[in-house]
Amino acid sequence: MRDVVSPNETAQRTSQGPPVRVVHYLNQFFGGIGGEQHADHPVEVRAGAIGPGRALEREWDGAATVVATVIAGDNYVSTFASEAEVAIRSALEAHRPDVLIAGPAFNAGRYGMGCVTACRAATSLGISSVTAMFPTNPALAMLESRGLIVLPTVETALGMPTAAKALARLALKLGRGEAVGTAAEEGFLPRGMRRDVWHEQTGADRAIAMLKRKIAGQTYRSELPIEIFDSVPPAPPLARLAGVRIALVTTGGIVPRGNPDRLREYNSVTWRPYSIAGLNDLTGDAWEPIHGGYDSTWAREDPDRIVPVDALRLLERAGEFGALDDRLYVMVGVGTSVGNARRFGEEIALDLQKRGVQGVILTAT
Amino acid sequence: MTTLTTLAAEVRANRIVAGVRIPHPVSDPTVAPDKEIDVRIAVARRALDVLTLAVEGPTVFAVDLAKAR
Repeated sequence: MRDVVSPNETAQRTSQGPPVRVVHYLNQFFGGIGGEQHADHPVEVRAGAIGPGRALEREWDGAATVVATVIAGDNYVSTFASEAEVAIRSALEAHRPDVLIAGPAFNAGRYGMGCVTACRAATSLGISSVTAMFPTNPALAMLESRGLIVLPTVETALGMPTAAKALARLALKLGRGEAVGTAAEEGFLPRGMRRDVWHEQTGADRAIAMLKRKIAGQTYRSELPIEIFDSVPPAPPLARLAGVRIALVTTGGIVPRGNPDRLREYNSVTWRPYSIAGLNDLTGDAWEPIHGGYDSTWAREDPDRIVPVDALRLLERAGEFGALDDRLYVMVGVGTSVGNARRFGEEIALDLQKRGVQGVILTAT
Repeated sequence: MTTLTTLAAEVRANRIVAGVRIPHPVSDPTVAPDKEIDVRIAVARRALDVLTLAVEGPTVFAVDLAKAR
């Protein structure tokens, strides 16, 4: 339902109040301090608009004003991200803007990271923010960038006029507290978020209408875009199984009986590691399935049918591989958003790495 | 290890071992109770084996359960 306009959105043409207050974040280059030799420049605050900020102000024509420009060197902000975030936050607290604009950073990775850090600082204070960069800027691969409003740009500063126009428009809307439409309507990069809205037609009616348009060869737009999944290069194979530590991961929702961590049966938001140290077997009186998406009759009788701890213990004892890790990693894979699933994967992988695990068997229902 | 191998390949899992049934991907409750562990051993052994195989991208591996059953 992300392509539906919320009803209050059209009625939001507010009269011109006082100008929207903007704080603008730039790197040392666009901030006029200098090139790469000044990339270690710490966070500095200057009054008014600088460089790209002047282009923004021309777009606004008095409707908004850059009250301060925060400048940081690319190396500084990417090396000392948390210190930079604190400094940016205090600049925001001092100037209390209605909205923060960061960049545009185009395809510059460190500058992109600076923009992400600045937007996070704003978010932590409840201040709206918007940035702009090339869609595959490495900064957007960082976990920290999730949920931020990012307008796409071309790779280089040749795209400044277009980017400034887009940033100015959306920042004005955010700064005025107006309702922001969907990614498709506003032109920012999809954030993988969904919003509930009321619609006068049921899903069935809309689906039929869409089908009719398709059959008639007319244009139509899906309400549920097909996800494009990341490609992950395969890990190299293990040279041998001898001496190798293997861990078990499951999306099958097998938890200690009573579900002590209250993992959700649907729409998972977290994962948990559970100790299987010394266990030869997952028994139905100590473990239970809480997954809301499959018939759990067989798993309830014997949870090894989802996570084969018993078989792997036998193979471990027979010397067919090194050792079974003490941790069983549990998720509930039903109605789980791709964003959450990706986060679980990243977090679990880090934990596995810390524990010296070399091979993983993930069972999914 | 999953029964939904097409889905696993679509989300770009690289080494996929085909499971038995959705509610018991690594086992088969229809075999004699004393034989069921043999199914799990066969499936687990296949998963271990697949970890030692090089793949270029999403690849589905079957488990030979004939002997185990």
